Amino acid sequence: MTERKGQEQLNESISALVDGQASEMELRRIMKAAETDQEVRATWARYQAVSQTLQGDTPPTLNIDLSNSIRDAIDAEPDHKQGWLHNLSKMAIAASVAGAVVFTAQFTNQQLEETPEVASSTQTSAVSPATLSLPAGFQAPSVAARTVSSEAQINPAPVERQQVPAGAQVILKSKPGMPNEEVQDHIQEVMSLHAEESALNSNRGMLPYARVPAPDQEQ
Amino acid sequence: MKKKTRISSKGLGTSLIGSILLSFLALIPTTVWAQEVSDSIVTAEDLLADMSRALRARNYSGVFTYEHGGTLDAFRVTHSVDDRQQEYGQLDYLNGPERSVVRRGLGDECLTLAARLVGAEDQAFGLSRHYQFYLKGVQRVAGRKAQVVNLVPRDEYRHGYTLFIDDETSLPLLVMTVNNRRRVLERMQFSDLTIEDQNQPNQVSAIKTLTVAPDSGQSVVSKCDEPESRPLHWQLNWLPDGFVMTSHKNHETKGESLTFSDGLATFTVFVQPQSPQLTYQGTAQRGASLVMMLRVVLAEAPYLVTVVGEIPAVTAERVTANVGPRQIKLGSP
Repeated sequence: MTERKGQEQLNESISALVDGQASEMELRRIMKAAETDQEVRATWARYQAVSQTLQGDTPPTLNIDLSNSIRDAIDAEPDHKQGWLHNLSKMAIAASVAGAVVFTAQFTNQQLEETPEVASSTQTSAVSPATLSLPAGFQAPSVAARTVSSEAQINPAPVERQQVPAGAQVILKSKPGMPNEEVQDHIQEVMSLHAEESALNSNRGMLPYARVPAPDQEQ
Repeated sequence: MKKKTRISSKGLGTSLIGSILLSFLALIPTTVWAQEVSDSIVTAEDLLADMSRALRARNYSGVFTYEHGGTLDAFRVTHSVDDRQQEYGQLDYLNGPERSVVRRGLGDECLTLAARLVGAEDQAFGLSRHYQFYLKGVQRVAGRKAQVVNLVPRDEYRHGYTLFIDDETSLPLLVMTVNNRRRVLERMQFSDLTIEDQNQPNQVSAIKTLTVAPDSGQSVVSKCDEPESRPLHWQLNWLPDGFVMTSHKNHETKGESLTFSDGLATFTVFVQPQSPQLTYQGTAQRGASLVMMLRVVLAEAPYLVTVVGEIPAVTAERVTANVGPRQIKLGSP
């Protein structure tokens, strides 16, 4: 799962590189991956060909892999990056990575508090004059109000935050990351069982059944 | 008055009585007539009770979409009531693998607790204790005129709703679930709705005679609140105000389940012995549905507690933390 995700990310980076928009970090990662992975080279060549065809300037049959010679040329170059400036740039990269991690952690916690607000740009913009008379808390969304978030979210539990009643004790061994197939089946089944109850007890007719994801489809 | 004739939909009898009443009213002096009209101004509570009734009593079919996040799914729903007031319903998933849910033979005995909560005369149980109601005028959905009702929760333990209730039939044309940040979590919206005045014998018999092949993706629900004879082992030591237990069941693999409803929001708590395959604990969210899994030790044995429902995470967290062995109090049945 993670391997495929990594591959996807790499492909995205390659795509960015073809468009001349890759960052230095991305470029390094692609070059490193290209050392061992023939697939990366093939992807690079393919994307390059597609890009050129789209721009309409070069026939897609041109398929020369220059990365080896470029790498050799780079290796042959004397190292210019010496001294404190070099270290500073390393620190800057490390700092920005750390920043990204902190941000993600906060974001994940916030998601646990409530539903994620991924689509902040597409959120409800339904503050019409009629709704302003409402007290704090809620306004009526318009017919066209968008729903938030873009897909199903799964978050590991913040176990240490659970309040536990006397007599019950929380097992702290939790496996973070993506849940396995059994967990997905479990979620599917409990949602299905719950929908039956909800269809009878939420005054929504059979509509609650719509909430049950198709087996083996999502999560 | 006009509203009453519309809503009761019990067939020819009521509409006949309605028209007699209307012609009677025509003879009454104008001042009294005006009084009648102002009395019949609909309140949000009335609209909700009408909606609950219409969903059970109306004959309708339509296509609706379920939008959660950026995903949109489509469904066809058919509902018919036969001569004996038995309900027949079918819901087909129009996207993805072929699936459908069939409900047949639900009768008056299926007037569930939640339905009673919505129609409650007794305000002690009424929804208005837990939601503030706002009428937001008229909008058009699925080519029909709809009354917009906004329900704002009075506490943090439930979501809000915006309901677009059909002016003519009281069926919900659009239901939005909104969190406390005013973000729409999910939306169920009819794009097309056909109302049949009479029940459709063809539809009823089609649903009645539908045979379900195993693995066909179809499931049939033919009973309403099936009383569970086996005793309860678990209870919640804390419940958000206004929620009542609507059912409890024993499942083969999922252990004991307890379902609670406040009339609009529902959640189900599953308590099952821990298995080595289910070591994950955490929260999953899809639209307004929240699934929270937590491994706990209850009565000195390891259990997996799963809370599923259209509730905020804060409610699910408090619920999971308050599952305990059932204590039988003296004097309680």
